[in-house]
Amino acid sequence: MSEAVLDEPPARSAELAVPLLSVSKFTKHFGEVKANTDVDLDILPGEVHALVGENGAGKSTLLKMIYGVYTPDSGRMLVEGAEVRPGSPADARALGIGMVFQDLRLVPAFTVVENIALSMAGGQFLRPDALAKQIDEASAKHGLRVHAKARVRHLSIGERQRVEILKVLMTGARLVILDEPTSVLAPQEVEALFGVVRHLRDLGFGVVIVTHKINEVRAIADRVTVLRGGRTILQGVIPSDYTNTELIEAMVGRAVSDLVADRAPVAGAAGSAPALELVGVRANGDRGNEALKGITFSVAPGELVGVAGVAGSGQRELCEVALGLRSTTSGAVRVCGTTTGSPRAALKAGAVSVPEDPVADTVVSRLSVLEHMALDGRALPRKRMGLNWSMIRSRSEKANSALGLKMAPLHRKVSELSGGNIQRVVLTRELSLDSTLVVAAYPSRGLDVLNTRRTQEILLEKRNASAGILMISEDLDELMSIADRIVVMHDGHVSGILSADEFDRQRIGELMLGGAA
Amino acid sequence: MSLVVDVLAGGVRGGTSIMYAGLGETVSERSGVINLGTEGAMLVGALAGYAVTAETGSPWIGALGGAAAGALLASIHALLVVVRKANQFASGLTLLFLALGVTSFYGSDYVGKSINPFTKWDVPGLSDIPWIGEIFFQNDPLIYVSYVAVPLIWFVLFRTRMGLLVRTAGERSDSLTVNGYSVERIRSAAVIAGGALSGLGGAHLSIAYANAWFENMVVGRGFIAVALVIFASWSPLRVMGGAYLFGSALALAPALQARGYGVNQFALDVIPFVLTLLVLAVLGKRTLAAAPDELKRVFENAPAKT
Repeated sequence: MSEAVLDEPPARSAELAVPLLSVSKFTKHFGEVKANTDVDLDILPGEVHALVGENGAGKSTLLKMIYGVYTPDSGRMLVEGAEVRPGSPADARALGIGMVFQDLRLVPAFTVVENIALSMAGGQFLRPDALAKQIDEASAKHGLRVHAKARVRHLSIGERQRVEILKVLMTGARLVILDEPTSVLAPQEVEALFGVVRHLRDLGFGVVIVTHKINEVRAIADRVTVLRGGRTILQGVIPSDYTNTELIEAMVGRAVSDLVADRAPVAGAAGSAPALELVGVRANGDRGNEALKGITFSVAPGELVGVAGVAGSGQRELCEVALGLRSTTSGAVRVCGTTTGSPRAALKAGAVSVPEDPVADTVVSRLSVLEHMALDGRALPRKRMGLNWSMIRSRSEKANSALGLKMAPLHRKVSELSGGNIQRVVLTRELSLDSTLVVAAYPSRGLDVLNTRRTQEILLEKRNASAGILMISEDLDELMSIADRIVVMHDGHVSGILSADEFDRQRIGELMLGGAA
Repeated sequence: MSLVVDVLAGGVRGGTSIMYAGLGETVSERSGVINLGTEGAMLVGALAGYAVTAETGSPWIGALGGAAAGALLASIHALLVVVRKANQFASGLTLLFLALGVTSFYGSDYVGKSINPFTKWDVPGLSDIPWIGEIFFQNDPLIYVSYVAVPLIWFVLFRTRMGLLVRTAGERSDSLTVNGYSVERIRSAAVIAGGALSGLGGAHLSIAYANAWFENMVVGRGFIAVALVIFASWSPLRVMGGAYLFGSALALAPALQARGYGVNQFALDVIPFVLTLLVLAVLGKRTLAAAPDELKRVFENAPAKT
């Protein structure tokens, strides 16, 4: 056990508040992986505390130890001054620690009342009416508008999040941990969430908000703790004392300058057929519902078109239609002027793609990285009866060094790789090909700041080499910094198309929610 | 008119075994487990109910024996599919054939043996109401038990914590895990309770309805119950109505023959199954919207989220 003594930094002991939660020297190693080493964190009542870090920085390990999912190898944890040792999430909840997971855990078929009853202590009999009244009271008190009798499947993601927060509060939490709450929300909903968070802070709750977006830290956090490589880099500092560059440097370990796309027209691209042209495209989703309801727009060669929209607005189907993977019910899809209706035809016309979910859609887990690099849609180089593996190997190595995404070693099996590493294999393979159209869905998913940056640069290089780029992203900042135009989707429609000089978060957010001002 | 009353009264009498099995399957499926072995649970329930009644002389103890036998068979299903995560369809069907063989073998001694079955008991006052009395209140005690069982099961599923946990297991089992409950334990309990109800349904058949045991005496009622649960969209109250509908279809043949209509026996025997097919064709996949989410994963053969 650690003999570490908790010593309060002087800046905070002046505030006279006993921390709601105080973690000192938490260490958790999984074999060789040092997930957390001597991590410190303390949360005061009435503060919003941002916890930031790159993927693999150790944020989720830290949260899981606080929430009783993992037991720390060493370190101490105090709740309101008393040493505790939660052995399960139930223990943590009993201590007043509440967690709202990124993938919300509500039961869609149940009403709000039933969902809340599930995690509240109580007798063997459910009293829906009495509980609904309690919920109404709690929701009025905490400023969380929630309709107690509604079925969760009819609620928006933002409303579901409010139900989760209310649930956590009603089970007696004094400390609310929100795990990347904004990653699923439209900008307007983010503002509403932040309103709730501020209200909770004013009521004296401690709120931990996990994010990797600096602008959110600035918007909401009183203090910020930065983790990198499983260690605390900045502990509980005040964000306004630091510049964006300094905060990113703390997360990444070195300075990263802002990426600025020049958006200069690409010479020689004018006059040729659009890289991708969609005219009145309709298509059904997997469940037979109409997912695309008349989509018309085009991507010129040498143009990067971003697609913004709340998740599930038809982005996935749009990509699949563009690549010939999903059949249309009406309308026309043309890649470089040729009508494509099959994956083969799209490949032949020069399309490459980074799918939304590479693990489900692209990779074969038992094959090696090298074998994946071979399966790039081109004819395989042959050598007598078999394949010319040395040639595949050399062209893979060339692709890796040209793109600089530091792909995992060629002999590794994909099943052993993390999500971010798999994404880099797919990106390297697809983006190293000569192409006229790149369809990239969430290309930076699972990537940390540096690889995200490199991926954006590669996409801009492809654009400048006269390829048309269709890029789906949930990060408006990413789209606004590199796209030439942004197509906003809502419920299977295009609700707006903005050119670079019209980019505006507020406007895009409105269009994402259907265009209502 | 008396034909209608006869058919409806026969529907209640003949439909009760299907109703018990349908209630059992509802409880099981609400927790996210399909049990195609319901027919098998009814078979072992019918034989055990008959044998225990024969040995003890008490149909009440026999009914308990039937429920216990159904629970035992369902516990094998729970072990295979809940604990060992085996394929639910394969396990259920295999258990049906196991039950068919076992009951044929051990049941041969009881074929033709006479017992002291449940007897009809008129509910004072209620049994004299025209139509209603004849249909609902001149019946055997297990039917009266079912009148209580239906609202009771509804209440347990929708108004108690236990029921909430069962339904959560069927909708989103990881929500149970995060709240500190064991999905395996809750599902196993639901599957075994469902088996007990199916076994009771089988016992009703042998010790209250037919008052006899013979090989494969359930003849498809268990499967009708499985289909019934789907078109009742997993609601105990609708299971009751549906069971009476199928019971009435089964009662049509004897009622017509008793009146001397020369209708082909085989044509009449298939009426319940034709009815099932018709309902399935009309509803299509519409009822699936009401299906518990975890159950849809079984239908779609998608791996459950871990």
